[in-house]
Amino acid sequence: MKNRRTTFLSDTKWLLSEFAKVFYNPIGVAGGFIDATRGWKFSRIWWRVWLHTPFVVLLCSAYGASSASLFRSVESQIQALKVESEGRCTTVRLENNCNEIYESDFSKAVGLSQVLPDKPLEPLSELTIRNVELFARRAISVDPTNQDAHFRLALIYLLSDRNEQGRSELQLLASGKFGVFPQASAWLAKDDIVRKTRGEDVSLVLLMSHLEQASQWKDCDARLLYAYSYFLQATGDVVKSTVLANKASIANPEFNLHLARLYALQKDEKSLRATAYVVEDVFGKRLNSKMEKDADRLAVAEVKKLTDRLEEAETVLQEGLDLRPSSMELRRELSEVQRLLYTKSILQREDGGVDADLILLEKAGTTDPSNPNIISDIAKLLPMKIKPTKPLMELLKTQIAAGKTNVQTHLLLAQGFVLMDNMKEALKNWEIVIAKEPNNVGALNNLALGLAMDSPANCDRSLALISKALELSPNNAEFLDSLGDILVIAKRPLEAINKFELAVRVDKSRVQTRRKLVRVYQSLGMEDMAKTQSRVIEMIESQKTKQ
Amino acid sequence: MNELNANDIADSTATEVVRKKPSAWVEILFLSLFAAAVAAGWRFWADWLSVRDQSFFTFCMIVGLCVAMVRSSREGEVTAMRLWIGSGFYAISAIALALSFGSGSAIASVFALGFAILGWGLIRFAGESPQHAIGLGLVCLLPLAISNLVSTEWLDWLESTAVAFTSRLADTFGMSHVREESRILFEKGIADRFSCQGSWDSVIAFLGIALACILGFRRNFIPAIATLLGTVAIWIALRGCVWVTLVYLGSQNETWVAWSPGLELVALGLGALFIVNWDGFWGSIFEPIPFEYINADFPLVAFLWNWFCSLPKLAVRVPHRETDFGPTEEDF
Repeated sequence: MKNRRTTFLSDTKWLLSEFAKVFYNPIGVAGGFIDATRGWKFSRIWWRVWLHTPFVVLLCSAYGASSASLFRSVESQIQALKVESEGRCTTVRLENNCNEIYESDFSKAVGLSQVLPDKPLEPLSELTIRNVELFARRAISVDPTNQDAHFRLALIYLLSDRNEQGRSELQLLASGKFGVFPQASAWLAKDDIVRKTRGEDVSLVLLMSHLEQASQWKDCDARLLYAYSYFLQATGDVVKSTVLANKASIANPEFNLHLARLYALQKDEKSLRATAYVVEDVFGKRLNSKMEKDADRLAVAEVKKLTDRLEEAETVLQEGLDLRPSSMELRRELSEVQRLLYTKSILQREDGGVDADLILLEKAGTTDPSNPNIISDIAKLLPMKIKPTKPLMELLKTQIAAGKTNVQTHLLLAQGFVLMDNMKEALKNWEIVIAKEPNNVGALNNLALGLAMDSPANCDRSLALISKALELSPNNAEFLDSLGDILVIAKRPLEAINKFELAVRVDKSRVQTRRKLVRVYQSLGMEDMAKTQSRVIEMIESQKTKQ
Repeated sequence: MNELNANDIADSTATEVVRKKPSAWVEILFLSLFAAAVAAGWRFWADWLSVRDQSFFTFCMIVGLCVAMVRSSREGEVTAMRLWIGSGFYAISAIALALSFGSGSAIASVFALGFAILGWGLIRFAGESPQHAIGLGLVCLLPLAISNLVSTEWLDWLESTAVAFTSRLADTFGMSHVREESRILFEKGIADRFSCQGSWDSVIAFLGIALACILGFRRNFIPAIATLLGTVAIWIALRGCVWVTLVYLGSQNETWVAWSPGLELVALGLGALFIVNWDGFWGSIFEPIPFEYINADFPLVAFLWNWFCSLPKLAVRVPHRETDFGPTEEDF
């Protein structure tokens, strides 16, 4: 132990003395360093070192090569990737291929004809899709905010039937996280519209927001602008809708038709006329050619109609129908134009009566007997106290028998028959209304009252019908009044008083109901009550007179 | 040392070691402990050896230890430590073994095995410093350390680094690819998950070769560390280079490339070549400066270098001469 301690102390002393030489004899220590270096150099077996060196150099080269990429700027890497990727498949090609998938559904959704390329596009090979995806993902890994790469990736997802992923990429772009990118919004809007027509759940607010952003894009698909304009028109923003329609019509002159409709809505005659000429020019040049379609003739006829040139519209449509008699669209539109001509022929006489050229209505009926508007027009004749002609009556009967008439028509017919004191026919029409629409409260009320008035024997059914009407529309003063009437007919005056009182409580200004109350009070010998009610009637009437 | 005059050259730590030679009981005790430890840790060893690269690692370790022992016995007859210190490690091994049998812990049995070999090495290894002999014995605990590393995130990190290297290398050579966690998708092929374990070319197999080199060439601490770290670097670089080359060749023929066992063995062979050379290179560089080349008046730098290169051996032989600044001839 003692020996060890002595060795340790002497070694430490020796080491300290050697370190001390650094300060008092640095030149000597430097010489020692040079000697050590020489000693190191001469003591190596250099052939062995040189033998191993190439492998060490190779390893270092691999690391050097790997590190070289670290010095490349992000922009340079992105640029190189973009060039490579575009070399495999251009973004335009990707968009075109995506468009091809969407075209059919989208055109159907916006109600326009498909815009098909001259030649059908070759589908992208699996290898191309995989490589483009690889480049896009690589570019994103280098620069996560690269919009082009995200967009290409989204298109690849859509092309390879990975719609959810594609949508999420587009949503990321449309969110504006990486800057403005309206293309993404345009695609999302297109996708939303297609999905909506397929019956999928699509948020209208989001769709409008996508359309708004897409409309900012200078190369936005005119059909999207049209769709946005259409939605805006539906929401009542006609001014903005017109601006967008104008933009769409610049990109595609066919959208002038929609623009004309909007001008007509705003009653801007000057702009309407100018736009109508463009429409006639655009669609008219295809008429009587091999390229002619029903849509062209319908467009020309529509602008003529909007600019009040109904006779010209009729001629255009008639020509089309002569060429293609089986075209139901042309037939219906021609019938509509003829119906409008009939509407224009309706004139109010000085004595309060009405004159109408029923021949025109007959003509419209002959053109398209299934046009429901004609049946409505026939129904409207009765309230105007115009007797329909035999052909019109025949048409009406045929349509009723075929069950092609609508509820509105039957309500009008019933109203007309009441005015013509033909209660039986009126009752028949209300019955049809209730058969078609069991919860139509107006028809229930009218039928209940009509049946009771027709025969007291019908009172039970009348009460059932009016009770249903009151169930559907409780505390309705009109229905309570009808119930009172039916109860009077059913000889239940006390209950009738109760219902009339309820009716006037709901609507205090019902003078007719109060008069009925007076009559029932008097019939039951309740003179005081009758007098009080009469005074109220006088007060209401005097107030009305003052007003 | 102070008693030497300026013309004498002396060894700084010259001490004569005389130790007893071990008897046959050392071997018998060792073999008993070894057999008991292997039996106790049977499940661990069965699991360990069931994986291809781990069994290769064990094989390399045994070969390395055998070579080290043969080589060390040639260099001298003096054992590394006194008999009683080796016996102390046997005692620790016995305690670990008892714990293993008592608790059923496989880890304790591996410790028991490690300490038994450590004790045996200290008694049997001739011509080694005690520190060096301890280092060689501790090597036997490496399977345990590696099996623990496998369950940590260390291998994930290593895989991620290897993938990053390959990605950068592919970038340099203009190969389009995208990285997905520990996978790389190349334009014409997909690199499978970079395997750190389980295959012939795994990092564990590479470390086995490195260990065989370190033990076989009886490297000191610093070259050994350089070899182990270099092996990981070689594994990363080799995997990356092989992948990039394969994908390059694959893209020329427009075919898909795939990693196969044959390719694994080729990679292992290439790796072995690189590891042996790497180890040889640093082994040559970190050799101590021989006694005769050292300046006896200013031996500090040489002493520090030799001490650094000889780790874990702490005593270093360097010549020294006391400088006498007494009266010179001019003074007379």
